[in-house]
Amino acid sequence: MLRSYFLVPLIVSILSAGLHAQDPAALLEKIDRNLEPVSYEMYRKLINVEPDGKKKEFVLYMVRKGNDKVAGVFLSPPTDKDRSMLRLGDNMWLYIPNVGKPVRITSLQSATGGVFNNADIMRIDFGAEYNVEQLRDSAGEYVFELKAKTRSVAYDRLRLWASKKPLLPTKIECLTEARMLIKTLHFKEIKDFGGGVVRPSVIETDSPLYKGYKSIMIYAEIRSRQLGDEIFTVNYMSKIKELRK
Amino acid sequence: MISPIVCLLAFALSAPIAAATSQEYSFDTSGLDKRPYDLSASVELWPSLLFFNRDSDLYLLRYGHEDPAHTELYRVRTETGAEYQYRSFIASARGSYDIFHQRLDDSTSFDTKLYEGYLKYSPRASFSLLAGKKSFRWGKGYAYNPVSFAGRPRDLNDIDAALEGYWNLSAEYIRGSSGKLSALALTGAMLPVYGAVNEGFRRDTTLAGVAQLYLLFLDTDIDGYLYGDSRSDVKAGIDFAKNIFPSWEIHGEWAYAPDSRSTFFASDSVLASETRSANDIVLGTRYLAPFNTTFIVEYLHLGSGLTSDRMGAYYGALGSASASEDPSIRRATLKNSARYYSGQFLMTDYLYVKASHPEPFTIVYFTPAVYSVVNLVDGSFMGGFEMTYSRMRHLLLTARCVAFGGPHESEYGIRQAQQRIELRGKWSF
Repeated sequence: MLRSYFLVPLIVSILSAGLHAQDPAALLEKIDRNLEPVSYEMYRKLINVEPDGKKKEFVLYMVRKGNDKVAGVFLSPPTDKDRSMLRLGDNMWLYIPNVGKPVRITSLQSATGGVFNNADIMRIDFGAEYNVEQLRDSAGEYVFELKAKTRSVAYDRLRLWASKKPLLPTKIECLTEARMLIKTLHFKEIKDFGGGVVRPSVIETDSPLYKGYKSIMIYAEIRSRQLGDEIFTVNYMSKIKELRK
Repeated sequence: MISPIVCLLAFALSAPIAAATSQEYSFDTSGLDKRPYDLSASVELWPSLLFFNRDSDLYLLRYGHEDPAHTELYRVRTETGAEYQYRSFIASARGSYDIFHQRLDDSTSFDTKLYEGYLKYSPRASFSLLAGKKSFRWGKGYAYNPVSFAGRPRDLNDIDAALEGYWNLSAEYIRGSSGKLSALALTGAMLPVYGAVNEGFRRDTTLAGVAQLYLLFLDTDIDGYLYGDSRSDVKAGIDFAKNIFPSWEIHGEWAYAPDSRSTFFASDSVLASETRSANDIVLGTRYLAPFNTTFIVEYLHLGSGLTSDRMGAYYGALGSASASEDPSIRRATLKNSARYYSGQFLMTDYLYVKASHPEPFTIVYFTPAVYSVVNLVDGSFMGGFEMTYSRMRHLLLTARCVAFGGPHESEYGIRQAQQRIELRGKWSF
């Protein structure tokens, strides 16, 4: 009895020490790299599902370079075809072919409607936007409490659950500063995309603000690709589809 | 004639069939293999109901003793686009075919437009050369773009409408980086005006050149513009746009023309022209409120616009012509009114405001908006309410109601239309 009185806190201390011996920021960076290469191209399908089961799908071709450059063009549906989006750091633009020039948009607006907003579609590394406030172990998973680095980040707080092996997110809760739930992302169906990229291929999102609705993001063909900086400019937004091979 | 409501309902009811098709959560990318060609098409039904301003001299001039209270307009627009890529070359064409029927006089007209048609050579992402017809959409303003030196005026009641380009030879250089100067782009174009080539771009035969320098500097979009032609006309302009906070954006434009020319009624039937320097300015802001409504406010100053006195002469000319029994005077006045007084903004100072709120009450894909343009000089206004619904994969529905108001002799008060209601259904392939 006396032995366990000392043993339990000792074991907890050792475990905690082991946990914090791993730099939380380094762990988060590893999660980021396990999710996506630093520079890549990919196809993504977004599906908005309504309470009655009806769906609307969007297909995008997306490219990304580094921690602050993301661009994408809608390939379908026909009503959205050739619309493109660009993110450079905290700046975002939307290009609509019939308007013919990019307009600045915000991360909290939604180019597709439904649960996803522009920040979800044009996501960059978690480590680029968030600091780790706390890291704990829960039921064999890491739980990161993340706080936005600046006020320009879409969600003030994230609570990120990650499996240890492989080191990948399983669930993320997006929260306000007061820790009110905005939406939940569920990472599912781990898939080998080749080139060392093994990650969840499906993200399901639901929100208490859109009761009964959910949105799904399906990833396909993630490939490392070296891209020039000129691609991530407003002048190139009408040409992003030309990058496809 | 089939009611426009029935037409559009039939159109819309066919859409849920496409929306209701069951699909699994799968992503088959085999159909995404890039093809060398790309085709697109759309068909749009566009019925509208126009209520006349029967006190307007312009209305009396046009309709005289007929005195109709309203008319129905039906438009069918077909747009097609095709693109072919071979290595570094891209050939592209896009145009429209309109059928326009007015019930009042049972007249039908047709219009074909080539919006763009060009050959582009792009050996690398940072550089391209283009020859053909292409549009230049410059500026940061939502309602008005004084720096659009090589573009056509927009329709304020359809800001997203595609616009016809001009024939030109142009080149573009783009450069990006990760420093304070995140992006730089230089575009130059030559636009000839000769006979039917670029007719309407300038009054007289000329060879025009335009240039645009774009910078993204310290997270601010900055553009500089120049225009010059073989008749020694020059113009210069700048614009900017920046996020103050993520939800708050400011923008502005300034254009200067040392020889801005305008034609106006000097008296009842005499036209006069004047050339003077003019500064056109747009200052605006866009704000996304916490409750998800986006507000846009813009102040427009058109130094090239007409003064109250000049507009007074116009109203006098309309009044005299509408009271005249001489058909040639009526025709000439109508023709000159259409030619010199049909622009979006005739006078000098305006306020544009718009509020839109996407997905109210969680009605996904539905966006209502209200907007207004107020002439700050004569107090007249144009106001509109619109709704868009894009739930269907192939179909975009828009409903719009626009009203014009103001004193009898005012820019919007003199218009022959008092109110317009339109429904639009655009089916895209």
